[in-house]
Amino acid sequence: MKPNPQYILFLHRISRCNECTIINMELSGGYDQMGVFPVVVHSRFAYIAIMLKLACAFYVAWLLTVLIFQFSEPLRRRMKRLPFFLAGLVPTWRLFAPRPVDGDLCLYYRTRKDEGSIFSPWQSLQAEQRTPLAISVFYDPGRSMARALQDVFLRVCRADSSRNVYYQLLLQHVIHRIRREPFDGQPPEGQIQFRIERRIPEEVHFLFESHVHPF
Amino acid sequence: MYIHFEPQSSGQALHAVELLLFVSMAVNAGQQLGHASAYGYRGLFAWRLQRYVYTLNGLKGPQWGLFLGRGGIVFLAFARLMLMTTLTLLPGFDRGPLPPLQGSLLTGLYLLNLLVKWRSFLTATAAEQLGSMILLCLVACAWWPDLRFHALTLCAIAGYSLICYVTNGLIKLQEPAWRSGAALHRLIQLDTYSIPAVKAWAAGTDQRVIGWLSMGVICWELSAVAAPFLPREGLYLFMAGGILFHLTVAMAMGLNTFFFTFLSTYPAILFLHRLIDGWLA
Repeated sequence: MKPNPQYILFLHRISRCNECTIINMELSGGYDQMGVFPVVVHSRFAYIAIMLKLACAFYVAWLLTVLIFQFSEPLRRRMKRLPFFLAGLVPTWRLFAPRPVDGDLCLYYRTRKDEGSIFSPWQSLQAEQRTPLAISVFYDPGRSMARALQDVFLRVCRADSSRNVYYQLLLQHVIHRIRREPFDGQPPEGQIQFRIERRIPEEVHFLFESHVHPF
Repeated sequence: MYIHFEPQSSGQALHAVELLLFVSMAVNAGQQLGHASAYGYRGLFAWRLQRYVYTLNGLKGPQWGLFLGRGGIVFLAFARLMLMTTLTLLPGFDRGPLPPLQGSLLTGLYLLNLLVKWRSFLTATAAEQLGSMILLCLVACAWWPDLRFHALTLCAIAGYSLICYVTNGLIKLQEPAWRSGAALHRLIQLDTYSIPAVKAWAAGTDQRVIGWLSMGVICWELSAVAAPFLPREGLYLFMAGGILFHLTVAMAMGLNTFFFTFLSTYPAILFLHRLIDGWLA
């Protein structure tokens, strides 16, 4: 049974898209059910049109929020920790801008046997092994770890107590790494201290020195 | 001969977005498996300490066993890889509306992704944030099989990607250090964000050349605002620039998830371009 031309005209007017209307008609059971003017289909199309408008409003609001969030400090303050818990739905897309990373943050440590003895010289904690360039596009865990470490270093530099979460994470990371490294003689034991320095190709700036902790 | 890359339907475009996003998420999951020991009891991301970040931010918990130890992250990574493989093998958006099974799997993948974000927020990058947004859009498309909604969602995905480029371009343009190239010069000389070959090249290159390069990147990022309105050749050129830019950043700076995540938005940009072309015609 052919559809009523007046009905087709009506659908076109509602949806404003000829192609979509035809596809929706097929999905909703074919032409034979729509030969006469059915009230049920009419309400279905009206419902979809309203839902589409709502979806469109939602996407526009989301886009605007994301856009304003990049530039507006008051909005970022007002949203507090919400973007963190939303896990990326309101992202920060500043990507090294406006001020890029200002130097490499490097980690050093030294150890001593007990309070009376002298500390060993400061030693650098080497970065993890690099992945060959050819496969780094698909797999490069060392680099993502290095970036996370830089983030932790920055947070530790702002820490005001050794009870800070990031301080404790870094401390255990240092101890764990030292225990894994090969030693010439006795494995390190006793006490440990770490420090963070900012290295720009030509200069080195001291940033942070930890308390002395037992292993 | 003329080659057309445009997806012929919203289904094809969504399927291409989905597959490229899966590659990005697989790279991310693989890297998490690569440093799974950091999620262990004494690792840098030990949950017994990291969960206090949530407690300090007013959220008591989450203290589920899933998050404990390296086993938790290994489980999450494998579960995500399994779901992505299954979804790739099953018929996708290009074959018509997704059946409820695929919709459920895609929703499950999004929830797992959310858990991963909460567990490993220290390794999360802007690319993973964009990936999260795209995945949520795909989940919405799976449950609402309306072609107009799919078209709308593709426009939104394209919009997020283009906004990301333009925002970056604008922020960098305001900063004199980026305009002169000094910021880029400093950035590519760092151990964390560079490789020896690039560092050596940067050390021996005139600052003005790096300044032009920096301005080139800013101009390319700003041109994203016009990309959907360009003629087809112009759009292809913009995209070729994007692929080159992201590939360079992936290899030199180690930001490899950016490459696939942003690439996954390109079918959506092509679709948006086709729509605008149609309207203008």
